[in-house]
Amino acid sequence: MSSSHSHHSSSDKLRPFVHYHCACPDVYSSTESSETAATCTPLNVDSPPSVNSPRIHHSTFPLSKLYICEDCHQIRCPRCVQEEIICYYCPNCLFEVPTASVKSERNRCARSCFQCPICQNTLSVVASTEPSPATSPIQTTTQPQPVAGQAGGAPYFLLCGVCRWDSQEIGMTNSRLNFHYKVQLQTTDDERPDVKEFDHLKEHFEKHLRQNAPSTTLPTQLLNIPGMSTFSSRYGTSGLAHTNQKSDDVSPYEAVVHVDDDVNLTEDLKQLKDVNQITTFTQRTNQLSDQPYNIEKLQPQRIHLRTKRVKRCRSCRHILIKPEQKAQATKFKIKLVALNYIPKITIAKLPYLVVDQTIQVILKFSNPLLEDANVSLSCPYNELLEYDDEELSTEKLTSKRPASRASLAPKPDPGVVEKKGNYTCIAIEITPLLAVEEFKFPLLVTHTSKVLDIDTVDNNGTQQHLAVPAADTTPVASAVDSVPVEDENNTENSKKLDSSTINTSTNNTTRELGSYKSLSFWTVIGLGPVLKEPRNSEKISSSSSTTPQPTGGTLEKSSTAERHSKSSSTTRPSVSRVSSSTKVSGSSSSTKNSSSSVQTAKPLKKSAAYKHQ
Amino acid sequence: MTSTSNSEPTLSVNTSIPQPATTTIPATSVISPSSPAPGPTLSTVSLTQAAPLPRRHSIYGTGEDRIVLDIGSLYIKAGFSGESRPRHVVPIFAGNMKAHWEPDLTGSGGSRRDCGEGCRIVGGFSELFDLSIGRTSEELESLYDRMAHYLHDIYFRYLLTDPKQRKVILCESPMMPLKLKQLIAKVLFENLQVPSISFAPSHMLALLTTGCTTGLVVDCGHLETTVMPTFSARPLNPFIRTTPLAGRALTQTLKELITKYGKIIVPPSTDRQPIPSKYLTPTVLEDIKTRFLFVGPMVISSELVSGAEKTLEEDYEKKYAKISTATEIHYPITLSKHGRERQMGTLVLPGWIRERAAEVLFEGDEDQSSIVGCLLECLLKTPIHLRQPLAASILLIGGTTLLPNFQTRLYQEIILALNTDRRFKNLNGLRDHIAFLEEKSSGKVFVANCRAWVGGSLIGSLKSTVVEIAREKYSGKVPDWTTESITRSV
Amino acid sequence: MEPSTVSYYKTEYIETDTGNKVSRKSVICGSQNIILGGKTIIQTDCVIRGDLRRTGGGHAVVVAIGRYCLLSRGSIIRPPYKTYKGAFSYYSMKIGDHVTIGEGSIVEAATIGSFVHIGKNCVIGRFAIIKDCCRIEDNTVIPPNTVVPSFSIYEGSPGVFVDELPECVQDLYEAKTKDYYAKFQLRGD
Repeated sequence: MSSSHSHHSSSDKLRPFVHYHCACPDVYSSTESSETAATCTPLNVDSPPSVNSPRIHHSTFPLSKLYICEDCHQIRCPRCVQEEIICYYCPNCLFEVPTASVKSERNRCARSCFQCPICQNTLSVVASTEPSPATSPIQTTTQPQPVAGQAGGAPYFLLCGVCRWDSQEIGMTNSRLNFHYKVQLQTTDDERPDVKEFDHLKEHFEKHLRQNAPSTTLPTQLLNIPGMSTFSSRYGTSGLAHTNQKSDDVSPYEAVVHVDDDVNLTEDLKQLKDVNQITTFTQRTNQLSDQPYNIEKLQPQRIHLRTKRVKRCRSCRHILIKPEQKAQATKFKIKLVALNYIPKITIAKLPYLVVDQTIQVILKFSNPLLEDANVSLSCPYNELLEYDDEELSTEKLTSKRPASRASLAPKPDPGVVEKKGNYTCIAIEITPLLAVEEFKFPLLVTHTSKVLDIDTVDNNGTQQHLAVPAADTTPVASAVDSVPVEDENNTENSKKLDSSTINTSTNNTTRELGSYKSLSFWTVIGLGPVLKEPRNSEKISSSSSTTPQPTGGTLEKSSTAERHSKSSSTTRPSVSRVSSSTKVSGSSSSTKNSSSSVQTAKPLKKSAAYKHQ
Repeated sequence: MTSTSNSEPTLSVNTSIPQPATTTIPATSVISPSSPAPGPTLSTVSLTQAAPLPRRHSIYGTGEDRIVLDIGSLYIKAGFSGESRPRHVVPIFAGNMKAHWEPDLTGSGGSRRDCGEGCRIVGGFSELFDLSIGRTSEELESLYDRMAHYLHDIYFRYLLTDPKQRKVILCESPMMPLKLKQLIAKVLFENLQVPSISFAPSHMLALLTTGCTTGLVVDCGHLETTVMPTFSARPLNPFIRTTPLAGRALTQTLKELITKYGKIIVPPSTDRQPIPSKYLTPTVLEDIKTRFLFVGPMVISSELVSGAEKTLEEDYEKKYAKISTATEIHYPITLSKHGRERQMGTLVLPGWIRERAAEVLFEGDEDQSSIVGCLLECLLKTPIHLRQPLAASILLIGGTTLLPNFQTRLYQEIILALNTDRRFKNLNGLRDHIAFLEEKSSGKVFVANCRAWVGGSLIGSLKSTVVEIAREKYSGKVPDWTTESITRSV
Repeated sequence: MEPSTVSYYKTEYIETDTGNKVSRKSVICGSQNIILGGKTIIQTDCVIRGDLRRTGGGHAVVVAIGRYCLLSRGSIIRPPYKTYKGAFSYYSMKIGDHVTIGEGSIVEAATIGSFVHIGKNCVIGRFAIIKDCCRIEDNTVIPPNTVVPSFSIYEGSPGVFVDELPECVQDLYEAKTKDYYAKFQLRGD
């Protein structure tokens, strides 16, 4: 895509976000021998993700898309889980399709579920006793069944509610309400010339294999590629010139069908008036048997199935997600989602970003656990350090902003602006140095919480509704059971973290209680566009943080920031061009949680699943 | 399952033979065509067991059906072996944006809501890779991410099957960059954990779908056109010729022509205005290309004015605008979207552009041969005794050859070149032998853009084993056909 | 962005015994045929047509809306209608719990499940069925009679399946609607 598309206020369309980075062990650290693998830089907590790399889109996710593996004590993302299909169902009739028929029905619904060949919408079965809808201008040339003759039998046909296509156009009607594809489509499917010809070809080559087995070399050649030397030894020097029937060659093939070119096609195209007479690529790929040009040759297609899947941790194979088998059920037998384990970070206040102006962004950390948790933050871009991903090193990571800078926040805790219920808000100072389309920065979050008892593990929050077989929960339980808590903590720190960074910010009083677990992960926070110069309206909105006016609304009104002339969304500004500085104030905050606040923030049934000790 | 009785085998084959251990023997050891070597990569077919088995594979099939993938730069074709067509042809989108970046024209009004659970990978229609792939490691990493994303979708959204349970046949263009091949193998083995991969040359596969084993296969896809002679099931790799004149070049020409000669009507005005290039997105161009273009008949050169000093487009208009009888078409185009409302405009496309944009494919120059030049150069390189059988069995595959009238025009161009081009005077004797395989055999029963896939499906369904790399044997490297010796670490 | 507190004046909203907050500037027709589950917010300029009843039918409930729902400004809830065996009639509509309907959206569905997010400016066609745990993006048009299965994101005009929702969407939407209700407060002064 060329950069010119986003000329009109594309910046309006950027939403602020907090995404969590998953280090996906198997993606980033794989076989050394592979050339491609060698080029993949391993990412871990030591080095922040490069926020301007296109890779960031595939490795960062909103919190809601992440899982937690309790065994590995790691975040797992959609990329680093393994999936297993446990249920196939039709998204239209919602019937479950047994595995046996999934294959034979080619992943499509065998009931009366069809999609429109024109607009791919679901077709409805309509009785033609109703006043028939106005006939489409598209008239079919071949009409196997005359519609008129059907009038007595109260025929039903398929109608598209969007584009008004109806199956009478292609003579597809039925005397019963249930359109069975076998009657309507499948019979013609097995007789389709490509199916016949394919089977014939298969016979042809199999016959050859049988006749020549086991001494033949021919089919071997089908997949072996001789080099020049072998070739010339055979054809260059030997005199096999005009005999292309060699002992090992297959016998001549006679096709069973012959599909002619549409001779009129070129002429029709030449005289084309209405562009809608010609199928689109999508329409053709929905009818791959012949991919017709002419719209009259399109037929309705059966609806494609969808699946429910079990998801496992790729490292330890433990189940993270296990849906209930039934197609329509929305409950889960196992549901280890990150949302219930690690703090949810939201942007509570976001003024407009203007070049060289220091602003405060308020981040809200909500603790999903019943226990207190410590969160410490560090950002690789401190002071006025220009950030360049290539040069970034751990040494910068550890350097911390002096606490005095936190004076902006009128609270005793550095940077903490609000602490209430299960959340804590902290302020971060930011001074963008360049006008960019999207301002993003990485933030390392270390979350330390008390290790929960096995029973406190809430695996789905829905247990009261189901009788969960014990077997289903055992993997989860044993997973937690086997974790040596202190060791885990230590190895975690020594392996993944510069422990000095973390420990300085850990609340010592809570530490004494022992069994704590910490998890460090990078987040990428996007704050939208940076403007070259401020506007009046923004100044007002940014200064009044306590006004009851929704912040989002105020921002929305004035967001017409098309002044900056950066490239489009596809072509990201290159790393070297983006320089900015981020200062993290209040690098440590402790989120507290009282049981009463949990009840308001979380569903009641959730707290029922916990057992307090 | 039993409905295809027309070809129920009288001699049923024992499908339950374990895969011969010989499959792991390096393929080089079998390439000794002068002696009928005991083809180690071919499984023996037992005739002793006559127990009838259903022809179609087990519906629960865990090993029988293979996944056949044909990964192109714009479309991925995917399906199961033993079927006569791919299940899906998936177009490629850039996939380098998250949905919090609203894509260009389809974007709705501004909103500053949080990007949350609806966030997903989006992007415009674009190429997955380029032939020059892998110049930078960042590019490769990014491609890895996109490839993993697509292949995951193909398994879990389209094919709905467990990748761990099915072997894979990968249609491989002879010009597929090695880095790309390795990258695909890495995604399949490491990310999806498929049990094994077989790489199969796409020209060869396409040829099999005609029932023949000798032919001159012209693959005119998106990035380039490759001409590969195959004789008696042996791809003659040294004689491959390529030219960048293919789908992409056509799109580029089309864009230039529309920009220059197309007009746009923006209501309420009825004036025809020049088209701002921002409206000619890859999606729009691809749509126009696949729907409305066709190949005009050859114009006798006397009618043409030679204009070497002119630009290509001016040249085109001068040559073709007057003699074309194709109708002008009015193509609706989305100009902008606000909420649910779209502002539509009309793109006016002169008929001669529809007819003549494809001329670029037939006009080579010093730097790049035309498709015909490429084809004849290939023939010229082949040993003299192979030329006639090859010239008499030309097979056109690839999406660009689907342009109506492509084959007829190609034929005319070949004859013209044989008659007039001094470079090819040695081939002059072939004039009366030029023929297309499709005409001789089953015609258009398989659509040209899927032929390679169908061939893959065919060999996957035969009761023979194919050379495959098992996951256990995968060490991060896959063999390149150019290295000739397929070596594997044991 | 963290949703911020929305405050209203006492004259703007009526609060019912069960905690429903209904704008005085909304249009509620046939209120005897409408059930609100409690803690549901109906904002300014919303229209709910409880008066469009089944012809000849008794005193049936026409529109049933569950708990913790949000009908944003200018959204319209209108029961679906059809002509069946020659008789034109309206049919009832049921909306589950924790459903958000965005500004300016028009809903003529047969059923909307629980934990559903419908964006701004959408049209949900007649007799559409939206199952539990779904997300309809802004400006989407769901054609009549469409079934949207659970854990789907639909987008576009006509709306098509674009992605799956994560497994935690139930918790997410429940928390979101409760949070919104808690922050939808009477102005103190």
